[in-house]
Amino acid sequence: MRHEQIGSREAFFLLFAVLSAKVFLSTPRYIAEDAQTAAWLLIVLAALWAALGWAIMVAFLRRFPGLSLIEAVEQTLGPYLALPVQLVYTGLFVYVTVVALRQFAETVLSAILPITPISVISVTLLGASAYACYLGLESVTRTARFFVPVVVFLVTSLLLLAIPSGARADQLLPLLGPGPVALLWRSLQRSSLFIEVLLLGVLVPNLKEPEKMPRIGYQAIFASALFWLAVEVVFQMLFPYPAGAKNPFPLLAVARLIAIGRFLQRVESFFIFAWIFAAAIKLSGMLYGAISSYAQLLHLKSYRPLTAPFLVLVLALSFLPSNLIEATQWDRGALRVWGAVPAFAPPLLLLGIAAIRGKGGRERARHKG
Amino acid sequence: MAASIWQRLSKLVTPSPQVTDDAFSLYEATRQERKDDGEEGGGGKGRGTSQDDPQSDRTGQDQGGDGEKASDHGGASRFVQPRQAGERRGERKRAGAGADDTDDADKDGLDAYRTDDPNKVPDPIDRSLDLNLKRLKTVFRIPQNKDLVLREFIISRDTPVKGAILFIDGMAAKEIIDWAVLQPLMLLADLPPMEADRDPQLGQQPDILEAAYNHLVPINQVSKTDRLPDLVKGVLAGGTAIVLDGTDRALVVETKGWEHRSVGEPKQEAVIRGPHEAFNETMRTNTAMIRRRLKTPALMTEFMEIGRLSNVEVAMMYIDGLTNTALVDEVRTRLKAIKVDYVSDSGTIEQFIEDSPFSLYPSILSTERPDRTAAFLSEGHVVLIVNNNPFALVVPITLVGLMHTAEDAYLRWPFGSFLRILRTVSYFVALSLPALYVAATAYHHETIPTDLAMAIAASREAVPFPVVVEVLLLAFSFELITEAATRVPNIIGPTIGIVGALVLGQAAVQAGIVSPILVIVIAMTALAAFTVPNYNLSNTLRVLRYVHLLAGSVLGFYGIAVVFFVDVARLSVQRSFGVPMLNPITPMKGGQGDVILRGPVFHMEKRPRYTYPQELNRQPPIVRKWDRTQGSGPSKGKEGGG
Repeated sequence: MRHEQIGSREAFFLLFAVLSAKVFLSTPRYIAEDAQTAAWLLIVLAALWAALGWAIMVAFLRRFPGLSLIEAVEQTLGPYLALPVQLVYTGLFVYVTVVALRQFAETVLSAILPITPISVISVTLLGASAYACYLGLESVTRTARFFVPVVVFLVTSLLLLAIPSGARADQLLPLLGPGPVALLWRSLQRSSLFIEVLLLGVLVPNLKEPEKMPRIGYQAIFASALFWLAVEVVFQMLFPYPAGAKNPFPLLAVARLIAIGRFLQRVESFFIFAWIFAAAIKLSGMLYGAISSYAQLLHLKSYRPLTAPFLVLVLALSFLPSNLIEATQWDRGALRVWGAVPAFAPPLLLLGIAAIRGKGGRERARHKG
Repeated sequence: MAASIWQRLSKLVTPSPQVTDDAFSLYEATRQERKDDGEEGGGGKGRGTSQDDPQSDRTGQDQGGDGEKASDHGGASRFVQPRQAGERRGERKRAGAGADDTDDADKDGLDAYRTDDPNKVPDPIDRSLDLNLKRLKTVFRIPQNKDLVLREFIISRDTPVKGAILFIDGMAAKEIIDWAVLQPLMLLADLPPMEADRDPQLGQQPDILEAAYNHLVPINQVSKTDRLPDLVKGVLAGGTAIVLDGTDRALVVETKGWEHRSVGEPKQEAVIRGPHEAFNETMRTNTAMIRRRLKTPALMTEFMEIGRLSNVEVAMMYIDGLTNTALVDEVRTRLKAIKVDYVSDSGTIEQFIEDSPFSLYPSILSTERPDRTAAFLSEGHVVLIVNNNPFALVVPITLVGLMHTAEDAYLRWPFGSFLRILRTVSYFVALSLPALYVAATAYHHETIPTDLAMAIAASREAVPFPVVVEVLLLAFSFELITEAATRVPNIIGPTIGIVGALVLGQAAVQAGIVSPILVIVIAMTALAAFTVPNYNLSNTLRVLRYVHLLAGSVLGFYGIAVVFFVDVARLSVQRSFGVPMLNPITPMKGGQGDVILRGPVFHMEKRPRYTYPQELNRQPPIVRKWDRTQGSGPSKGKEGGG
């Protein structure tokens, strides 16, 4: 496949966007349910677990410099044995895209366009993302670079404007929430919240400076954790966790609280721009991950012919959940509990296999030499 | 019926006096080619011998209403058949020569000279003046072509020499020709020959052409040539050709002297602080205005001619040793690739060489300001000046560059930055305000403060249309005012303003067609659009505004956000001569504080990276060495850069 080259900063912005976009969905709510008042701590711990997972991934990918995750798997296992693992990764990207699409469409629906058919929202949102994806990785990353500062600015202003509407720091106590053991266990499960970092593994051949790949991954995980932490803290300061747990879209609820004077009220519709930009970047990034990984699996010269089929596939799958609750359950109950296993377990196994079979790394270099 | 046949027969045998030789020879070529292709007789039912008789075919061209009928019968159309691209009259004629060639021109081999491309004129100049004049007359279609002035004279020497000058009336300065060409040649030529006049090829014989060049024609730009195409091109460019008998060379004298507009004030890029001169239609004036600001021998001006018929001169300017050579090569390649017959305006040339011809966003900047052009050159851009056009084209360019004005740099940096912020906000207002208004009033009432919402509702009570129709009506009216104000004769221009303001604004509100608040919205949008400094970009906004309006009216804020995302996604892959349009925002290339804000000039040590200049630094890191208050005084600062 011909690889478009992207800079490290663009890659960071894309990764930050795909990792952070879930703060606009119901994720902060179920984190609050999981960890009660220590939700912010759970995010920190989950980020640390995810960083560990990424470290394993980096260790595996470093054996195959310049190769993507998909190509590295094939190098290790051979074309036939690699196929199921590669399909798992493509499937994971598709799953994340499907869940994100449905949830974002539901958010738009319930927040600003209550009587619009969900298909209209889904088609336009995914269509825009797929268009960026079709234009190329350059378009996806540059669009992310363009919009991420806008999104961060809008969300920061939203949080700052909402704080005067009755934020109370004591609602963050007790500090450890359900207790350290429960927190550790749940944070391990919730490390699945950061599995989008896999996208970087697929983008390795596209990086102008592939040696910076590990650093970009860590930076993106921790930057998005920080961003999420800020949202979670303000959310919990405004909504004590039993009440917060009832809000399907926490950030939207925070935006609705803003009331500065008589003229600055009910401004959540303006913040919907941040929702849409974040959603579109996330969807285009994850869709690119799905399409690109599949194209690498098939050794295609161009991923572009796959854009339309994947668009239809994702769209069709996004209509499978019968309602928002079910869609959230696909996310909360499945993806964000078990997602880390298919994401980070194969690299650990493959690392062992590669070491045993002498694939990649110094052995590979010696063979070449 | 019988009368009709008789009429046609009589026309067949009577040549029409109105048919020109030109048209005849063209038809001849067409007919001969048909014969060669074996078409003869195939479609010529009922024509009988007329096809073999050129005279009869010439009459066919003058048959008026019968022309089509004649064509239906398989004969020649009354119009000359269009040639295929690349074909030349001479070529076709030569192809048919030798069959039944009756044209005198062919006997002298002059047909090759009857071309519309000066570069295709056969090369050599003959030693015979008569033959040269015959050829030049053929090239310029003299005497039918009345623009050309051919003046024959005799140079009075011991052995008189016949000579002639040729120039285009209106393009050449007649005073110069009279006093500096004709007078010395006709009256002062009998001076004793000088050693320098001797042509080495002719031995000791003094050469009259050398004499004319050396001391008879006191004009600063005179060139000797032995090629007829050079002579023709020189005349077409406003020069005067001097052709003398007995020599196979000629002189082209620089006598350009057409009427032109003087240097005026900028019409589109006016400033308060800064120079008030703009380019005009004379290329040499324009290049000189740039050179006045860049007094360096490294400033290069390369010339190219574009258009087979127009042969318009395009000057490509860049700074040798600074501008990236790959960029210069790319611009040169794209210009040379333009193979058209007519192109005269920089706006047309822009369309031939731009990267994304189907994008709404321009990828080439046009400016009428020489100071701005010089600044771009100093940053490593390439500039194109097209003759007869008061705009310079600058490549490569970025979206933020299209939003800058010359004045940003001339004002102190806080005010320059303020103006840029204002324009950036205006850009989004011009793009989306009507769409946001429609979306807010139709879908998101809650975002409007209650009092304002009630005021809007009250003002809309009498309006029978939905908001979007109301907006479209007013926006369309405004487009009409803008277009009319541009096209209307100057003398009634103010009327348009009155009509626009009173009739379309106040009266429309009173008639209950639009609401007063909407008038404010559209007026603000219009004002915002006028602050966009680039004309092409403001046109882009004009069109995109309707796309946003449509999206906002169908899907509210969500629709606007999606359209904006798509817009940015598309723009992010658009390039201007290889440079991404969203640079330096993305990819990040170090804007040196000259992106949305305008930093202090003494901090802008580097040129824009996106032009990949050969020399990145334009000033040392510390320019204000004397300034100890800024922490950059001699005691603290470091010398470097340069």
